[in-house]
Amino acid sequence: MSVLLAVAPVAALSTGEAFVMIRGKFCDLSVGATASAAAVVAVWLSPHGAVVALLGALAVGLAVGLVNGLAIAVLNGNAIIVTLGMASVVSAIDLGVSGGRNLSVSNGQLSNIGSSLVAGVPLPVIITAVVVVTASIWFSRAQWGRHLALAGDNERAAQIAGVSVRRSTMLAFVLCACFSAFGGYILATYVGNLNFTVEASTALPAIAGTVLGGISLFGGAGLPWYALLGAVLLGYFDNVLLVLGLSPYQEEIVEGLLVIGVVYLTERISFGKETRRATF
Amino acid sequence: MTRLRLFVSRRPLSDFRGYLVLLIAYVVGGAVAPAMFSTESIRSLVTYSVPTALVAIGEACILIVAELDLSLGAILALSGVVFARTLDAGAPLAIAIIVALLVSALCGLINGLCVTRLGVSSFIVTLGSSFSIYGLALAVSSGVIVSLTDFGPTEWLANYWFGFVTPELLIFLVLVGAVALIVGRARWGRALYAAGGDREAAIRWGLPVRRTVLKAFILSAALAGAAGIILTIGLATGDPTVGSDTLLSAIAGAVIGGVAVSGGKGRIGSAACGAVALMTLQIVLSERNVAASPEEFVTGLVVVLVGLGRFDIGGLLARHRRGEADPERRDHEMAFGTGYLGDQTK
Repeated sequence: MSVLLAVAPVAALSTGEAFVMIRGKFCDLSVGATASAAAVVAVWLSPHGAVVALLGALAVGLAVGLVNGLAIAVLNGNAIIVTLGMASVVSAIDLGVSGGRNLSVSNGQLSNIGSSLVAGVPLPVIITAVVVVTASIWFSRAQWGRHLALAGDNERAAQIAGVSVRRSTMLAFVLCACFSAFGGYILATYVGNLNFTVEASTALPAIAGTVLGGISLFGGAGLPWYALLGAVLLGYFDNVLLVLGLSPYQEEIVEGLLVIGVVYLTERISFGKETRRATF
Repeated sequence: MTRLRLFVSRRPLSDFRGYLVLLIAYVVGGAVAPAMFSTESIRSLVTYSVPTALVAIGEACILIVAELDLSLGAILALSGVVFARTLDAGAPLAIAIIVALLVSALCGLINGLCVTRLGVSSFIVTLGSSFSIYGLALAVSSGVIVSLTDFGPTEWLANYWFGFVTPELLIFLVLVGAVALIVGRARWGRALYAAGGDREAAIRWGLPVRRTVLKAFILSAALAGAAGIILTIGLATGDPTVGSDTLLSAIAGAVIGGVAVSGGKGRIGSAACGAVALMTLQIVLSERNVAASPEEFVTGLVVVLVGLGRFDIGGLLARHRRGEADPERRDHEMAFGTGYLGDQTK
């Protein structure tokens, strides 16, 4: 159970990445910084209640997502480079505004959410699962979901067929940032003392979860909840490594190699001997 | 009458952007903080920017061949830690340098093999390997910063000539010159541009593209390793957590210097100057502020800006106002109506 609790924020981040990947834009490297900033805002707003804190967190996500979307969809930016830069920008703003202090979650609604259990399962886990599954169902039924997948599969063809590719890209990055912010919010509910540097480099574990869940880097395929599955698998895998006695450093080594291996295998299985060449 | 060619190179002027930007950055920086022109400042600028510039020229090689290496920061950290550990274990300086460089080159080799043989996209490979290599650096250093005790050549290193020519600067110039010559003239260098400009055409022409890319990864890793060694000597400590800021500045510096993210363009010397220009900007910023965030913010902003592609504001606004579709889309709509088959819910 504690594994699920630790995995919940990463799962939210992975789901966000899923939208970007399905759209075919490879990934969003600013998820960690966004989650961190959102967590700080949520904690700061926590005296006003859990809902206000959530709104604040989502506002952070919306802002970051809009900037990312603008740079990538409208200004034709390279997703990897732009989000790499944005990670630093968001992190710097976060540090500047919060002053780098340690913030502690006040005993209020927010931490109540973090400590409640429903039928033995921590509430944050349930909330995350519900949100991800709902988003995924909505994605598979709604037009915006189909447009995202089509644009990711073949951008030019989608454009000709009438899909507003720019809008889909913008939506993908906004969704990603909002899910990251949501992940930060979830983290804020149960972390007692929020140290500012809440893993700003959580981009890789998030991407690892998404890829492990079966979403192709090249876009067009997959559903958001695959990422949830991948993140949970990764979480249990990490736990197994810990139980086996690996130090956190050795775990990192294994995780990095795992990502490469998984991507290689999934590409190999999907495309056979000829692996598709990306721009990077 | 033959026109007098003022400039022998056939490369576009934007390739040499880095020199211009460095000049501007230095002049503006000097105007804002006149202390910049003192020899002490130049010396510290050199010390501060050599590691980043070395990583930048390595990253430039990778970008020219249309790949991306996100693990150079990690390699820098690992190299520094390995160097420090080897020295502490009693090895002579030359051996420690060789060991650290070999380890770095090995990382580059693994990166390159995953990209060329496994065919996995270089961004994923280097994202994963950066994680692993940082883990390795932490493991080697057991999580702590390794201090250099009893380091021999410290006296020699404190020398400088003509006010600002330090040994570091000399080593840096030699390395940059060597790489620039190789990339500019040698066969491997030309293959870099060919493979980066049009990968498939290069393959069809029979160029040894795989070997070229592999060598690029090894070289950039070795350069990052050298940067790590220099940084460790400068700080007298091997830190397993450094590198991510350096990597960011290196990528931004290279692109500022004219290297295109899409590949096939750019010059090594210009990339180095672009990196130094960015470092100059950071120093100027830090002289006016105590907090670290303005530098991080500005570097991040620069990275975002250099990552933007070609866009036409006039065209965007016009199309938005007129609601005009592109011709192929119009033809499709005339034939099939708006929407597409997948939209029909019946």
